[in-house]
Amino acid sequence: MNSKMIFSNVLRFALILLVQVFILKRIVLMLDGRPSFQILFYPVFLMILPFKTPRIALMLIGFLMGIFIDMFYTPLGLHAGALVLMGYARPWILSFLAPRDGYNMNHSPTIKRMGRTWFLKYAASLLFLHTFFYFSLEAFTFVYIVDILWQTLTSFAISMVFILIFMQVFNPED
Amino acid sequence: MGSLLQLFARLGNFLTLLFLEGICLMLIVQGGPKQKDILLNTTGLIVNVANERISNLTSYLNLKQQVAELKNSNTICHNARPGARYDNVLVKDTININDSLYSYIAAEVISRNIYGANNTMILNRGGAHGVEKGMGVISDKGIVGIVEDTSRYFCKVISILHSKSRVSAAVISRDTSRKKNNDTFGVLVWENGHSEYANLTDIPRYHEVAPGDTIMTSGYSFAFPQGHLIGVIESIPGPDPIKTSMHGIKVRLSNDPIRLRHVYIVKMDRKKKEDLLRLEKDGGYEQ
Repeated sequence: MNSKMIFSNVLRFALILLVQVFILKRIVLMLDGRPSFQILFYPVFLMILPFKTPRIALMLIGFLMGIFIDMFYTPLGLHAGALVLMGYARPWILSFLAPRDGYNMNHSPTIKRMGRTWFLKYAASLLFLHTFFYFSLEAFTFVYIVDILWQTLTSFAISMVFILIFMQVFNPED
Repeated sequence: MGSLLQLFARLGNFLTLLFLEGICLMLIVQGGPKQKDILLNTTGLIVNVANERISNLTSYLNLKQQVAELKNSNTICHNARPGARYDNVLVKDTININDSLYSYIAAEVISRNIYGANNTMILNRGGAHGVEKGMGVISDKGIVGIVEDTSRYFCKVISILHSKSRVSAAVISRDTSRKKNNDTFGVLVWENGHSEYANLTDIPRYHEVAPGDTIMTSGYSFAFPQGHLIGVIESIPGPDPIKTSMHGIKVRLSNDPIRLRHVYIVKMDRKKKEDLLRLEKDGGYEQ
């Protein structure tokens, strides 16, 4: 990872954080007084880190980002917990979706590098895992499994739209 | 030592996962003083100031409705002016009966966490403005919540839409033939559910209540004066599932605590509060 890549990732981290807590959180509140869904856009940052990012770094970055997000939501630790799990699961999803000749380790899993269909499958698996774990953690029990599933599905669909729009508009390479 | 390193190389990722998730779970479950401190003090400096800025910007969006609400409360204030009323109060004693027991501090909601079973909000008034823990918060339309914690310039309010919220509430019968039950009172609680409804518990079943009856604050607490509107009984589905000798009452709240912006913090006169507390504790008046 060269210094340009580090710089662009730090910038991306900050911008995604600001968009999540100052725009998307407010959009949800405006649409629905006491929301039954959430727009979870920030996982896209963890999704498009380079292929060679080690699993432990994914988890630590996820934890850091989650804690930052959590400062604007309550209770503390909710987004962080879900994002850490997503970081842990990313290598599995990647190996599951690996093309026949493997990945180019210097690239990142983006639309530009891997194509639209591949990215859709990849982002959907990770985001579904993230939202499901997020709402389970929020409810803290599986007694409300129907609510959890319903919230997961609506939030998953809306968040997916935002992530795909972001990827289409900015179309980052790495 | 070597085998320990080997173990870590093999299981390191999984151990890190467990460690980080452990921290997260601890943070979520705890929600105790640590989280409260972080929320109110550490982030308070940056986040609340940022939130207030953004809140200032977005407040223009529903300016029209805000103006209408403020006009409404202005009217109430004008009505309460001494000159606006026919004065027929006789001076009965040297005690000034117009002395106020409660005063109100106007405040604005600058951030709210209204997701799930525990809804809280942050107001832009704090210890520096005389806000203290335990004070009630109302709006024009009804009650909002109770101050849980204060920092210097901000305070955190537990909304009535919070699983820990307990408000003493009285039932006022609409039907005059049942007027004798006027003094029935119970406890308003809220479970994770719809934001328009709350439950009224601890009303014994031998008291007649009916849909349409008004629910008001009982005045049996320091947080709210008597007679602030809470809501109207929507339906009485049946006895309370846990305490079967009590009614299970569904109340439609008059307020919408999650869309509010302008609220008033209820401050009880400190001297009188201490006086009352002493009476309750010692059972007599110390001269």
